[in-house]
Amino acid sequence: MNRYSLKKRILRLNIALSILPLLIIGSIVYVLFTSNIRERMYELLQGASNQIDLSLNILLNDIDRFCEIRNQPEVIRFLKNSEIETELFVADAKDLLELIEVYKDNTRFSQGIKDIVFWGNNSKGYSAKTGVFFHDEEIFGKNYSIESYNDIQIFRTEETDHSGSSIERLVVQKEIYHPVTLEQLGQVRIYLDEVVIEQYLGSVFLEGLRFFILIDRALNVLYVSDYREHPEINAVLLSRIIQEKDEQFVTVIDNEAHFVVTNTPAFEYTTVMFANQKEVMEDLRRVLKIFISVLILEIYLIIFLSRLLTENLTNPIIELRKAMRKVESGDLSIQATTEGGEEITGLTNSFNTMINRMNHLIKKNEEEHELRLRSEFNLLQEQINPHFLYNTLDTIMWKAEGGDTEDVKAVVESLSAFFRGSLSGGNEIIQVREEINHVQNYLIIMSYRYEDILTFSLNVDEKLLDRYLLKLILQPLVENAIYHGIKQKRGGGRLSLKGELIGNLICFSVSDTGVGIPKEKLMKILESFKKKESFSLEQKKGFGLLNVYRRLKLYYGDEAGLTIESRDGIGTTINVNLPLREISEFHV
Amino acid sequence: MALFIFLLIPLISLTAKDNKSIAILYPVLHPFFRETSAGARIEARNLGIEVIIDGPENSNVEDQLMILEKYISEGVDGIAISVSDPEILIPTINKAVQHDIKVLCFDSDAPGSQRLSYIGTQNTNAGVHIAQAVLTQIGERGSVLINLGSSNQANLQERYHAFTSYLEVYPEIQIKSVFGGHGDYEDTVLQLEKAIEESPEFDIFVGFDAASGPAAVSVWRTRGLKKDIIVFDDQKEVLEGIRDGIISSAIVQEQKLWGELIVRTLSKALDGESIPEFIYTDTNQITLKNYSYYYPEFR
Repeated sequence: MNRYSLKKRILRLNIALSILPLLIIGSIVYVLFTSNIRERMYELLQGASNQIDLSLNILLNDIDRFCEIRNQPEVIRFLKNSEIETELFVADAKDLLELIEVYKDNTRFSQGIKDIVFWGNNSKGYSAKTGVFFHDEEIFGKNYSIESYNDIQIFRTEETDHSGSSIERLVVQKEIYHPVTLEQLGQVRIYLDEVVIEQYLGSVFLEGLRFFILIDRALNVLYVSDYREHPEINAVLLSRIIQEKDEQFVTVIDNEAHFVVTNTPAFEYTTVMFANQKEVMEDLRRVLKIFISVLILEIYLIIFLSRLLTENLTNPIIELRKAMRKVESGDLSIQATTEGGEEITGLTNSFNTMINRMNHLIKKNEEEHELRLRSEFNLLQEQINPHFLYNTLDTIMWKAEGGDTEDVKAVVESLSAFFRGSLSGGNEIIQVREEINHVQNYLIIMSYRYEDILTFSLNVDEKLLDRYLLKLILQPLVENAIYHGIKQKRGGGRLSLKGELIGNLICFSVSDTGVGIPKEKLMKILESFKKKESFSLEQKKGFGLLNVYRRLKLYYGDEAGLTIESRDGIGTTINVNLPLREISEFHV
Repeated sequence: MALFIFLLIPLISLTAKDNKSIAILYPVLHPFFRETSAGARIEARNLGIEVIIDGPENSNVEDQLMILEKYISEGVDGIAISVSDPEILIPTINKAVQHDIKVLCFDSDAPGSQRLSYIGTQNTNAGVHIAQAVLTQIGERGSVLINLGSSNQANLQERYHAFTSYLEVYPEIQIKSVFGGHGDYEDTVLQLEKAIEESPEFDIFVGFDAASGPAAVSVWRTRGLKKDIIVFDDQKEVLEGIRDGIISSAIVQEQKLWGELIVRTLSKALDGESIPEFIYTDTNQITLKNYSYYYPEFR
């Protein structure tokens, strides 16, 4: 397991959580956008087309108004005047020139007017640029139609300018009729620069709109919006456009797909709008680019933030882990630093508490161990009490002098068994049988020493003998009873040891018919039980009782009980109750 | 009535006859006749007849006479003429008839001439129509200013007579001033202003000729007058006047129908069919309420 695996997992989760919705939204937007891009495109083109139509209509209205010049008396007079002599029409021509100036001054597109030409049926003509001219063309038949009075014709023509190069011009043409007799007198032609259309279109703007063309009924291209040559707009395409008029479709020009929208405004001219699909998609691509950039940026941001977050989260854990490692390796002095979230702090605190508790227990354990050792040591030291040994040896010697060899043999055997029993093979937990034997040996020795004053009885339930108990519980009590009870009483006394199994308790009672314990002393003893003084400070007197009590508590805890019943001058009974334990149940 | 005649004339298209040409001669090239030209040209195209339309630039009997002479000498097959002065023109009209030219009069007749027929408004009816319009406008009491136009023109004379005789039974309608602007705009304006200054207490102005309407609108606009105007004919200025509430009513004639009837009638005459001597057309009263119905193109 990697030490950063938690970090990585959190990071992955964060990225997934943040990017997934973004991706889903992005996909939906993309699908929605691409699915109806065509419809949207057509709509936009339709809108632009309508705008263009509007502008063109305004232009055509302005042109129409300008064409009212054809009804002016000056024009009529000039065109009706069939004189060929200059002197006879020069005045009319002069009037015409002035009239043209007035009209030009009052029109919005005057800048785009390159020439105004009146063609008369009377073989005369007048050009605003070059003046009066004569022609011998029979331009008009006699079959003129009144209905065409208001018809406007627009076409494209090529002109050569003074430098000889050809220029394309838009020509607007209207017939001139006499306003009263409606006789056809000629035509007026207005030569327009294409700039006029641009001027009127103003800012018809559409993303992706490449160009639009204006075609007339005969499929002649009148105008292409961006001046560029479009040889690909050929008759075939135009006829298709006309066929599919009022329909929208996609065609391929310049190897690129174009949306085409046609519209037929007033005057029966058709605008055809072209928008490049690629350029339209360019928009989408830009949106996509932005989207991806945002996505990448977000990933970076998430990585950064996740790092920050996980470090914040994992660092205390890592610290804790380090601390645990140290604890594992035995260093219990460590304390984990408590930083980070509430949970982590709680964990760390628990850890620290645990360590503290462990330290405490270890210390306590060590102390208890030391206590046990010391108590046992003290007890053992007591067993080889020089007084006891001296007195016993004295007894043996005395018996030997008396030739009582059987007694000597018995005392020596008992003493030997007593010391062996004290050591008990180094075991602290022994069988009741061994303890009883030990007490018996002691009592045998003591009974030889105090032949006159000590009698004793041992009454232990057979069932108890195979049970286990802490060693040296009973001997100190017996010793106490002899030294402080029976020995102090004139005429001696009797000591009886009883052992029985009551329920799960091993119950021993050591009774003597000695002097008993005075009340004050008993109180002191009981008080000393409650004190926690070290063994080294114990008083010599009553040592055995306290030692037993302490050891019982050390080994059995509160499960063991020791009670003292004493009546001054009559005797003492000490009851010891021990829980029944198998050898494996002792914690040594 | 006009419609009746219209229906009488069979709509059988005549077999095209080569070189059939007719001349339509106006007393003046006034926009009033524009619709006549249109009607005539459309009908001429349908029937395959060549139509020449002419007239003096300015109202002038001598010029019209010269033009008439010109077409007689050119040898057209038929002539339709709106006679500016019967006295002067009747001899030449008769001369044309003698040259085997089918001649008819329209708009303004030449009574007593040898012309075949007259096509136009029944001027007596027109006079009564205008009198009724006056009564509707001002009631049976009030004073009237009148422009008769050209006093020589028969149609105007007839209208005026019908007008005055209709009003004879209404003694409280007084004709304050009768003047003649000779069909000329400038002259009419001058005369009208003079009449207003002389009789500022008038109630209504009635114009009998085509110049009255535009002149009155101009005078009313410049003086801010609120008095009623009733005029003849439907020039642009008159329709504007109606639209703007300056002119109460215009009694209009059916010029376009005249054009059609001229060509159709002459064509029949040239085919040898007999034609009635009088072909009358109606007059309509145009007011603010109905002008957009009659002139939908006029907004």
